[in-house]
Amino acid sequence: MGYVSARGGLDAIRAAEKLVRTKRLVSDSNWLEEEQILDKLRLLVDRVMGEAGLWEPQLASKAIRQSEGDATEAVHLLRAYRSTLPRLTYSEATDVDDAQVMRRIVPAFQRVPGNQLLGRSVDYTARFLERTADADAREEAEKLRGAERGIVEEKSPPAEEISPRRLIDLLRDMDMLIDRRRTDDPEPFDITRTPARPPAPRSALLSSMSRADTGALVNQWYRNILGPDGYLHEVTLGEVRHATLPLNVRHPVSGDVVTVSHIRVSEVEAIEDLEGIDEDRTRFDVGYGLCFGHNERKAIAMANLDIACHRDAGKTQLEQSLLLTTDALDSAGFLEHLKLPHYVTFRSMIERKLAVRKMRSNEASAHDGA
Amino acid sequence: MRLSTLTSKESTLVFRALLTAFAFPGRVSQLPRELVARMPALCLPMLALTDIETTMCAPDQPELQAEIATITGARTVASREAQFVMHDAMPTDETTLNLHRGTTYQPELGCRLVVAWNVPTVPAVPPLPDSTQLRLSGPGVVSGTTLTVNSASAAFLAARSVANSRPPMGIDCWLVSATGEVIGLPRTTHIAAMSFAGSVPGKN
Repeated sequence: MGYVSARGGLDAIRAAEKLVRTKRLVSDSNWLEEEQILDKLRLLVDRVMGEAGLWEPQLASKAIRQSEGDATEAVHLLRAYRSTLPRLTYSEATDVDDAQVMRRIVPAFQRVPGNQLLGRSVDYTARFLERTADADAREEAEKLRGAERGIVEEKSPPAEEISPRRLIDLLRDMDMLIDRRRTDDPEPFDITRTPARPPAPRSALLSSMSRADTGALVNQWYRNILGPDGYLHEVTLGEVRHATLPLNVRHPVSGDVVTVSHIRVSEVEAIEDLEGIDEDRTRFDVGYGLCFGHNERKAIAMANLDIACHRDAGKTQLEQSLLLTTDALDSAGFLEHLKLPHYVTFRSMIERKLAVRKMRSNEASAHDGA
Repeated sequence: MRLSTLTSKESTLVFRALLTAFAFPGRVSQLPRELVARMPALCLPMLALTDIETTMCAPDQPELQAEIATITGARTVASREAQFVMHDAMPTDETTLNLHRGTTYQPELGCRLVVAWNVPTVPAVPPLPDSTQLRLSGPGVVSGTTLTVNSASAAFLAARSVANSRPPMGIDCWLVSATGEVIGLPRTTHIAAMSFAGSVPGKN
């Protein structure tokens, strides 16, 4: 975590905290229920959980309310809470093919096994700010509620739509993919225990990006594509999924694997066109992104940066930049600590400048005297 | 079994009490009373802070050590290797000096020591025969904070000072009473004798 400590002026600090708390709790508007945050601000809840590295929608909504909608502050609250939790057990590895998709699009291919499933998305919606009167919106909501009640599920969707086959499987069948799958099964790097520093294993990079600040990751991707890095590369998205994954643990008594919960994830596979001199130009390569909740922007940036990092192979500072500068708490914590008292360091800077000035003045005097 | 798993909320309450104790060394904080009523207060820090990734040791309480290990999943190791050590009585000099102090690069690996504390926090008037008043100083210590200890405690605190003599390495300590009062003594807190009714071995 970044810098968070404050010292001195305890009464003033307490008064500032009281002001925040009072203004947050005392107002003429209705009390903001957690349920409303979960329901109406679901994408913010997902983002906060992803950047905090803790899947707990109720607590994330509490954090959002406490932080008055400041996503980074909410992440801070949630991650600080997370750091106090004991580790009870380790989950079993989950195959992402066990996920049940709620949305799945394949921009690279029109007709794919399992079909395109647009699901809940504003990708194709004109961005008109709705200025509907509240009464009209409520009326519309009632109508939609009534219409939803009338929908009767005739049958469960077929298995190939719930867990559709992936585009990369198709590409493998066509021998169009570089095969980088490992046969060993190394322990994943735990970024919550050890800070990842380059050169780091891929699991460290993926974990770091999965927990990174969404905006920072998008910025890194954009810089990588169009910015001063000049690393222009051609990426097409293979899979973009929003799906539910089971969380499995081994039962401490029976030893059986049991599902104790489910989490939602966004998952992306990015198909990279290889055109380097030392690369196999007859095939594609794949970057992978997965993060908590519905946050496609982040998962897409992550998948693109995963493959970019692999191709970069340490030639630039991309890996270092991803590992060291994209964490919301690190960057915001360092930035915000600048607001804390720096009286001693600044006084020291002034004294150094005065000393330099005095030395130059003495030198000038000596020179004039000579 | 006397102990039970803490809920995440209970764990957080214990954590907050321990954090407050470290934030204001020498000042008495209170562990959650409803938990103290259910199980030995000395064990609460261990139940709240240890888990499957930590190591612990309670050398003079083997039964409680086994219970804590079962509940939290913490691995039991020798006290010199443990990240968390619990003592029902003041540890000997040898034990204290052998606790893990971390390294220069990883001072956070220094041991967290939880010790039973049965000395009254308010000095008796007139002073008890075997008592010494100590003055605390360092980050977070409110000016004028003192600690009244008996000779056994004074010996332990002297050994603690030696263990903390090469910062940033050192050990962090909580003194916990049976009723859940807790005093934090992080490694940054210096302890000096004010008066000697008994003897305080070592220097601070």
